[in-house]
Amino acid sequence: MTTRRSPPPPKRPSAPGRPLQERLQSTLFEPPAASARPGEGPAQTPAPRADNPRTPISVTELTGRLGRHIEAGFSSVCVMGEVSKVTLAANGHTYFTLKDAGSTLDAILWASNKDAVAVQPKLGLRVVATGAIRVFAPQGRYSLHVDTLDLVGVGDLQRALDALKARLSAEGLFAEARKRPLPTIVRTVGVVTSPTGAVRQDIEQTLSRGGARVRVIISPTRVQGEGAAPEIAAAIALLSDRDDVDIIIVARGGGSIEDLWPFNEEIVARAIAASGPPVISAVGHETDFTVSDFVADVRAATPSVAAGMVVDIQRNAALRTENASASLLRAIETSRDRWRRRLDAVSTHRVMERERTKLERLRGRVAAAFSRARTAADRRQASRLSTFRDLATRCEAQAPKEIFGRAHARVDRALLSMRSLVASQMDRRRARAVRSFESRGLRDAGARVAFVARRFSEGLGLLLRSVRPAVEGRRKNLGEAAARLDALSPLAVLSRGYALATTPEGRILLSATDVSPGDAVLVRLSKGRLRTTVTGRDEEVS
Amino acid sequence: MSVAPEQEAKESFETALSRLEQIVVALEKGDLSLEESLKLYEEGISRARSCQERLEQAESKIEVLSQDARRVLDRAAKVEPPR
Repeated sequence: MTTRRSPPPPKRPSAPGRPLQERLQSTLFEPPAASARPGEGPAQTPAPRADNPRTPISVTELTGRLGRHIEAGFSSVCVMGEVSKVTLAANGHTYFTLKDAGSTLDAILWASNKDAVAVQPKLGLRVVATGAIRVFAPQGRYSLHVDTLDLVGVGDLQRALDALKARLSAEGLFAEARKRPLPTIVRTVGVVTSPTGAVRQDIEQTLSRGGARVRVIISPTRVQGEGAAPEIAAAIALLSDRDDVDIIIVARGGGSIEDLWPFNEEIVARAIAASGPPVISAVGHETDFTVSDFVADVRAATPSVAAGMVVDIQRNAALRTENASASLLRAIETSRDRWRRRLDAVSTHRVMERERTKLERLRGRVAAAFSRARTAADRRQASRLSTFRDLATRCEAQAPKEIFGRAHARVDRALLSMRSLVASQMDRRRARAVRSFESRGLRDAGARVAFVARRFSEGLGLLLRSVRPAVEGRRKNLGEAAARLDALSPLAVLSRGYALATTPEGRILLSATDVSPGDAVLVRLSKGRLRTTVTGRDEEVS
Repeated sequence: MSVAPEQEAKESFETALSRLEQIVVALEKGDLSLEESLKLYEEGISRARSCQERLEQAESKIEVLSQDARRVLDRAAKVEPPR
């Protein structure tokens, strides 16, 4: 605190009848009406015993005489000074000290007088007080019993406080940007407060009533009086240095401005600013503001409010977690439903239906193409078969039955296997095409339909191309077989002088009864044929 | 000051919770593929679980620091007042 070094006020030779306007200079006495002269105290006491200083008197008597003298001389004074050391007694009286740079004066404001004064004594206030000086004999002390109290101006203490605030503010210690956000979750809360005060209980009760699951570490300290400030600062540092503290509450209950004064001191402000964990300042009542409130990350009106903030943090953390979890479930369910709906919509959509119809039509066309191809193949085979049959029939007429039979069977087998080969190939391809088509699902139906159709037609072409050589080959084989059959044919016998008689239709005549006289008969010789007419027949020869 | 494990746990609670909330927002927007949705959902579930665990880990307990420790610091503070 700054002190003004001014010359000590000329208290002693306080002149009686001194002009009133000089009051504000220093302590000022109004001269008593009595003849007693103020000043040098005992030495100047105009006591009858002054001439006999060697005769001892009791302390009580001395004090009594002094008291009478002082009280007579200073029954009404008007004095100006700064209020300090305010104590509010239980009985309602207010004890305080008026001081200036050179001296101090004890003062009492009786409870009965409390409502009469313009301003209540508060630390740092600069006041003008009127009243009477009284001596309290048991302690040999005198004090001013206050009748009136008026504000003069902001006291030195307040000015010092303003200066500190201005300095810290200029340094940026109060800046919003410096303020840390409170944590999202609190496991451990550090509390800087008196270990015995009600504040600690308030905080603990608020936490437990709020159901906050937190560890509380009390960092005990005195919270008022001389030397409290460094203790508070150390208690803050002790918590800040720990690794497990998430948040610090600096707390003190309500009190006079002087009670709260340590929280206005720079050392406390520095400790709060240096703290690692965020700090909540909860000093005094709602209307009390201290420097610590400005430096702290958050100011709480009261310690209970500060504890309530921790409760809120815990609740919010739990609530946020709960809400987010519930929303997560809702979101995934919504998402699932949406996908299901989309799937349903796609499969029942008109376009999809159209594609499906198209698909069916294509399938039908493919099937028709297959069956046409098959019919064509069948027809070709049938025509070949009938060619063979003709040939065979023709040969039959000229060859032993068993030879024809074998040849016939071979031809039939060949045809049969060719047919089943073609059929199974077609079935396989069709099955494969249908399978691959269906396995691709419904997506890109249009493209897939086109793709499948192309595959089908390619497959068909491939199939036909692959069938053709086989058929050709078999035809060639059959030609050769026919040639071989020809070689084995009994026609060859003709060259040995036999003749073969047939009807004009080619039916071989084996019996005379096969014809009647007048019928035309072809006679085949080794070379050429004879057209003859039956002129008669003998049914039995040989 | 050093980042203690406790500090990390606290940060990751915040991180996990924020991520969980981001996931919810993304899922609620609904413009994700089915696979992405499911992947996010799984991640969200695990974050939610870790947040829940951390909330339940907290213990209710009251300690008072010893005066001795305080005095040591007290002295230190007196020797070297913060400037």
